[in-house]
Amino acid sequence: MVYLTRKAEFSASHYYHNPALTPEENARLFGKCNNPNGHGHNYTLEVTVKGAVDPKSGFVVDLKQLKEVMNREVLDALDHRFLNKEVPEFITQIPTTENIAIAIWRRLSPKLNFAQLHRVRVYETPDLFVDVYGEA
Amino acid sequence: MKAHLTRRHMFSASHRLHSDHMSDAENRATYGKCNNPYGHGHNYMVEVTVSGPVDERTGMVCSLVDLDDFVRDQILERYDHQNLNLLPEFATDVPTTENLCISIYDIVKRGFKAAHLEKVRIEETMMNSFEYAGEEGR
Repeated sequence: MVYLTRKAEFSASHYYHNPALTPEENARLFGKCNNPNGHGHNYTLEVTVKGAVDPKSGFVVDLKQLKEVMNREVLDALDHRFLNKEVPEFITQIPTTENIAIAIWRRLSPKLNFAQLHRVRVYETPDLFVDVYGEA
Repeated sequence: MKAHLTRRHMFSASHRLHSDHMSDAENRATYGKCNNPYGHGHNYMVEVTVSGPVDERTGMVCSLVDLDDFVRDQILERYDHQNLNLLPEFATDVPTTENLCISIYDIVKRGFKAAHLEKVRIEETMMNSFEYAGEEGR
């Protein structure tokens, strides 16, 4: 089994707010991230796939294909967007790094029939990142 | 879906690697420059990884403020700008980054209850890093 990781970057704005909570609770829970005008990050995405090396090509996965799927399913939807207002998942869910990683997993996993998705890692900053490995 | 959240913090500390179980010559052979009697220092990068289901109310594995407060109060306060050899946990154990990893893991495991601790990873320099995930860890 060999693991291959492809990185990408996207920049987006967001804010944290749960409408079921009072303004005071939102402010306490989310602090500065609760500002409704939003703020932004340069996110780094790492997508790791795994598999046996194909003896014909020497590849675990066709990187071109992987890049295309990442661009189409993730970057086109998230890059230079206000996540809360423009990305369907975050109309109802808070766009935390955890939920962004899960949303990216759910976007990629059904489209990666040519590779086995192992991990999605999302860096919000170099000092904060989230990993998801699917439902397993 | 379960998520793993990793937070990085930095602290600076000095240490000297020297074991009382070895002769001076063995210490020099084992630890090389790190055996310098006057000690030396590093900027340690500590990564704490916690995991759990994502809370629907907050969208988070645990409050980042709680995790940051814990790391600041229990880890950075303890180790930042200290000589590791003078701390009680290194009275007998050599303050290698392996042992530091285990000490920090134990502090987080004992004191931070808001999420499951997966592992502690420390970069001693950009070239050296160490991980500890507990005795049952991977």
